[in-house]
Amino acid sequence: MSEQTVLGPTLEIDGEIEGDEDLIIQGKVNGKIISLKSLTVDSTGNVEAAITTNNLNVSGKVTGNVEASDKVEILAAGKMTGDIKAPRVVIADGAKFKGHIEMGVD
Amino acid sequence: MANKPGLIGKAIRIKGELRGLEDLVIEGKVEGNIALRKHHLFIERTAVINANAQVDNITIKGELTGNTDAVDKVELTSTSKLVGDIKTPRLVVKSGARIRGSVDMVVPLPEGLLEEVTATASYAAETTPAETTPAESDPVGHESTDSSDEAWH
Repeated sequence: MSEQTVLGPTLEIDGEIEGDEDLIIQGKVNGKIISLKSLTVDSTGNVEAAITTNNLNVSGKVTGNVEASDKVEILAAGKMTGDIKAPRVVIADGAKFKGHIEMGVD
Repeated sequence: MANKPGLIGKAIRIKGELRGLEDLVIEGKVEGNIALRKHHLFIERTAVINANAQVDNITIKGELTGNTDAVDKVELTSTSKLVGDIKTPRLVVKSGARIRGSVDMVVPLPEGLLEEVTATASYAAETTPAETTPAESDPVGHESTDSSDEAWH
């Protein structure tokens, strides 16, 4: 089992999170997130941050710009406002999104 | 899963304000402020914390620099290192723990703990007469030796 950090539903962070392991956010984060592995915003999660990651999964709410080196996926329950820069973007039926998408198309 | 405490893993660094209403285990680095009202904070061996902590309970196995304000208890294990002031009604320090800072234990005890402490204290009073009797009999012993000294004359 790979290392995994879980920020529970009542946890609120104002500031900067940096990490080299999978991160699951069930609470609230305001600020900046830099994750070299995958970042999951669960259904109870509420993130207002500039995000740099490898892989982002959104089931909760995300406000802010995202730069992912691999993939951004907004699941059916997910809500996202902000710009996405990623080579692969998946938006599920039911998901809400407002922003710009840049996939690096020539 | 809901009962499992949240975890900040070894490879995570957080800079800023951290608040929560749940138990939390930190293995990584945190800089700033940690507030877990009515909950337990576990600072694991790999953790390096540079923050003030306001908690109910804190168990420190790693490194903490900052002031700790615990409503119930602070526990420092043998691998812990603490630089900062502690304010708590109950403090446990295991052999091997390193501390630099002042300790203030004159703080109001949380509800329920007062009864627990008085119960233990009265139990201790019941069990310690063996300890108190020699102390009380000591001056009597002196007097008797004095009188026996006089008797010697």
